[in-house]
Amino acid sequence: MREANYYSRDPVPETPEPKQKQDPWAETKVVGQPLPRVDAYQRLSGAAVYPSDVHLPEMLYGAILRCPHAHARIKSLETTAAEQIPGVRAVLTNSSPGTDIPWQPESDGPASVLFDPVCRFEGEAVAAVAATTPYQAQDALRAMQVDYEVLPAVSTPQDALEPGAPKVHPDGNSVGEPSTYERGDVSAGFEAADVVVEETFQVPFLLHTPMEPHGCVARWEGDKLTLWESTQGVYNVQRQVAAALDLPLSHVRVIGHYVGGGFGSKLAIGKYSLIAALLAKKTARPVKVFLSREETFLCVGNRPGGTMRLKAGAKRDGTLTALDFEALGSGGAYSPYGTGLFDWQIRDLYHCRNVRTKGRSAYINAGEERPMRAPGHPQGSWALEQVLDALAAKLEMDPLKLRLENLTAVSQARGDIPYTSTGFKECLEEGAKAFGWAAARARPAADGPVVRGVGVGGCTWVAGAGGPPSTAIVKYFADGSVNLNMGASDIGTGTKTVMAMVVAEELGVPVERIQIEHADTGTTEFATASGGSKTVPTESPAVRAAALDCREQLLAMAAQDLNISAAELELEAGEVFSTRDPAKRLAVGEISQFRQRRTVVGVGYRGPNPEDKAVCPFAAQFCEVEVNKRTGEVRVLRFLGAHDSGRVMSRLTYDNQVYGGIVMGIGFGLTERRVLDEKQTGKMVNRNWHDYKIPTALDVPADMESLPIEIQDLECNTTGAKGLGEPVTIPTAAAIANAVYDATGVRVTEAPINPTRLLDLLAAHDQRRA
Amino acid sequence: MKAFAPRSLDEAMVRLTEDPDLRLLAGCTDLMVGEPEDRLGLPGVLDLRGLSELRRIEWHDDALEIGAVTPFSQIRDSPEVQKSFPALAEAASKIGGWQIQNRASLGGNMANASPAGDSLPVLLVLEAQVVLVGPEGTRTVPYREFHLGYRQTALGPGEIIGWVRLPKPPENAMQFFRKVGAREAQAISKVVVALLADVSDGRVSEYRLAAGSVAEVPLRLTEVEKAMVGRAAKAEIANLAGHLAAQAVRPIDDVRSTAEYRRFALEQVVRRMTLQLVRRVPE
Ligand SMILES: Cc1cc2nc3c(=O)[nH]c(=O)nc-3n(C[C@H](O)[C@H](O)[C@H](O)COP(=O)(O)OP(=O)(O)OC[C@H]3O[C@@H](n4cnc5c(N)ncnc54)[C@H](O)[C@@H]3O)c2cc1C
Repeated sequence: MREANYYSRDPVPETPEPKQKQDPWAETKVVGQPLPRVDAYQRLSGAAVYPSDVHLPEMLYGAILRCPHAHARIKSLETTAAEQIPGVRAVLTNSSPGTDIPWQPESDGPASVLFDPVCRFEGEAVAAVAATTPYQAQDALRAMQVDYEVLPAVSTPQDALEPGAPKVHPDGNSVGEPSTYERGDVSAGFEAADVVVEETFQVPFLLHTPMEPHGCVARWEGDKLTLWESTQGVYNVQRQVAAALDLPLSHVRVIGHYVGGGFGSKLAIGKYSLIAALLAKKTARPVKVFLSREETFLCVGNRPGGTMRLKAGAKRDGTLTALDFEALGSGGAYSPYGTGLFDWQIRDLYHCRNVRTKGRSAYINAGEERPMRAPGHPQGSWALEQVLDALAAKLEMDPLKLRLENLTAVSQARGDIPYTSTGFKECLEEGAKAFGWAAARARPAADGPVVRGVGVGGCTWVAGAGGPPSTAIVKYFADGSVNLNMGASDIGTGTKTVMAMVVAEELGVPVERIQIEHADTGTTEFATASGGSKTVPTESPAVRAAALDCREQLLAMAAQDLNISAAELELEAGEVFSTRDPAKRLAVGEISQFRQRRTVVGVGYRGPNPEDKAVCPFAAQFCEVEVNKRTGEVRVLRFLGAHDSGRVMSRLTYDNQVYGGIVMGIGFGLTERRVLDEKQTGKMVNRNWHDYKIPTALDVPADMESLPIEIQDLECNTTGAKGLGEPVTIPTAAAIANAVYDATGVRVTEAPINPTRLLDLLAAHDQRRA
Repeated sequence: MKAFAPRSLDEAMVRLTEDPDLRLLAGCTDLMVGEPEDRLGLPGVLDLRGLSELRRIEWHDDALEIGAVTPFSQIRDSPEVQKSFPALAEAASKIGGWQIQNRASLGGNMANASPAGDSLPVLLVLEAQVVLVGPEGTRTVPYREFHLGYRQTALGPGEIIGWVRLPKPPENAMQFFRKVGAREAQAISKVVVALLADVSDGRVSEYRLAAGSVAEVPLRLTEVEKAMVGRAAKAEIANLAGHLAAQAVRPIDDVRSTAEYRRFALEQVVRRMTLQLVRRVPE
């Protein structure tokens, strides 16, 4: 798995283990409360300055000319007319000095350059301009004359692997050897099975479509570059830009205070980042390059689609005996990760000794894949959770019971190491109880044209442990207010709020008195990118350690004044007092050493994860749907997400994640898919929010419930939190498909569930029954 | 580019007489989302939104007049519309989403003349009259004769849609509206259906059916209407209505739907509406 953008794999000597012994929290005062976001007012009032809001004096606007063909070779590019448009200050093409920058979206994928003369997907960058106004920049793009030799294109992984298919790269379209995994003896497993189910599934390519488009503002001061970039990780941007432009890390300052969503598509830089920097250098002016909505559909990432075949065997009593999985997908023109992690649910979620998986990927003429909210997992879940339901139907067993029959306390895919905690059983059981599963299942079937059904899906998430490195600094001021410094981005998930609550917990300071400096490589500490559901479990222990360091220093100073041992001192609401003799107390401002120093600075590091144990979140989601058998329309009536992500750090941000993940999963299940004109041009047909259908407020049930399964995990890290942001969208679509099956007796294996297809299936089903 | 925002209909007419090529604009929800090339060449625009004559809902004689620039949110919320023309109120509440309804106008929907315009089948079954205002004065055409072809209307040069007149519907008649789209809001219809119908003395006495997204223009399905009027109001006729409706249309395959699905969904929706009619249960 490509982890560079999530974790650092190198040893990290500069982040030693936390100095303090940190006992797990027993009871918490602030952590876990439903506190509003610390930046809620700024976000809602429009006062928050997102990177796309940044406006600098003398700033120019950059724009990128994009290839209109799915596959083409540039024969010639004429820019004279564009250069003469009033206001145009710079034009960049692949013959401009300094643009021969290697571009390799994935380290093990095919290499390219910034402006590649062969465009392998629609939307590939061809040239760029900077002009005084955005309109002049667009006019200049229109004035460029490009002579393309249009090449045949290939749009699906199946077609890409056909003999004689158009070649995306000179070496062909195959990504290489399929990735395989095997444990146990699969054939023996099937022989031992009483029932076997085998199904083929199809999942669409999906788009991240964050609210804020991708882009940045670049400004040079001498040989130092500052970038305001809409990113999930300022330090990723720093590393990648410095490498591409051959600059010292210290000369690249990246600021990303707010981000209007990323969902994985902003873990790495885009060509726009380098183009902005080059244009700014060439014009000696700040340059803003923000993509149009349409560009964000074409060329900044997608979630791979493909086909999957899953065969499963079970004993009469429901015990799984074998799983055999095969997938074919594509990461687009440049990423080899077409089916990356498609198989993880199959490998790790349910107890099964005999498992075989195989993933093949092919290059196609489409934009490159980027991690999208739980890479690979929702796809695999679509297959696994439906096959489990099909097995349950064959066994005449409640699908919930079948899942409960196949639980495991160890991570089988990691060589049977135990999980630090797993609340999967509780997610299933307590979720079912809160949802009213048994009653809903027992309901007699309606005989009218509008029928209802319920479905369940479970999941785990490969990451979500978090881990080093991370450094946080807490500064305690003379008046008892606090400044927290950390590098992590808050990608809209409430990171700042959660971290302020951790500081408040340890230092007894109200959240309103905490100021946060974050996501700035110039002024804040190193953090990995916010992604992989790892931000809370990575950063919160470092922040806690920093707060504790600060607290210990304060207590030690107070101990001298009070002439008692620091061990018996407590800090609360700006006062230090003895736990033995509460009369012995001192306002923080009166501690003599502190009065001399004016501030106390605490530094915290993220310690390592437990060895030989896996830290993973789990979940079960339940839903009820209504199917109109006349029109094939499916309405989701209600949803419940029961999640074990360890400690609930902030109840409001927690519930937000659950609802948001379900909404995204409803899109996957019912409405979203990227459509390419496969038969002819290979161009994208639905490149905007009108034609690419994400669910609207009216498509989402008002009745959504978040049920935290708060299993105490004393081993995972010092705050007990596991990741949440991705599991919330893994089993959603599969649960919908299972509910549709429950309602109609028809299994829809192709996502999204399309009314036309559903009607065909219903008709075939009725015929079979007649 | 020239841009005018006249304050009165007279002033608008003067401008248009001087410059008949001015592009009219109302809510801009069609104009501004089309191909940029179509806008770049415009000689100028005339903004109709300041004309109070064109922004009103009021009774005149026995007809409710709705000004062409009246946004759908106002139509949706109007007690008069809700009471006498529930199908139109319903259609207005299903166009785009709230943001679109706050801008999009009835006149814009008509002038845009898309086969999928959601208000259009309703205008057909309500037998709306369209009042066109031109340099020579006003003229009134039945809405049926207004929408001539794919994106083609009976608007003459220098003419604007002033308002529509909706004759008071027959007492007790039922109205139905149903839109089938890819999601609950912000979706162009796969099929859209309107029905105004009545039953008296156990027989279908009135049956006006129209559908959109099933041909190059929204259609009144007269074959179905003829077959229904006079029939005994029994559940069996619902199947016939649906069947005939499916035969009367000529849908196409496109990104939003297959022709087959459109035909099938139309059949089911018409069947359902007719069933509700004979059972006298409003949707
Ligand atoms: C996100 C989105 C969702 C949409 N959803 C739907 C939907 O669900 N159903 C639906 O039917 N439509 C939908 N539309 C299309 C559009 O909103 C409607 O067609 C709307 O009624 C257009 O009205 P307008 O006032 O915005 O027209 P404008 O865009 O201002 O004008 C449209 C055309 O009509 C002409 N025009 C406007 N007023 C007059 C007049 N009084 N006389 C003569 N010509 C005139 C203009 O010159 C222009 O050619 C949607 C549009 C968007 C952007």
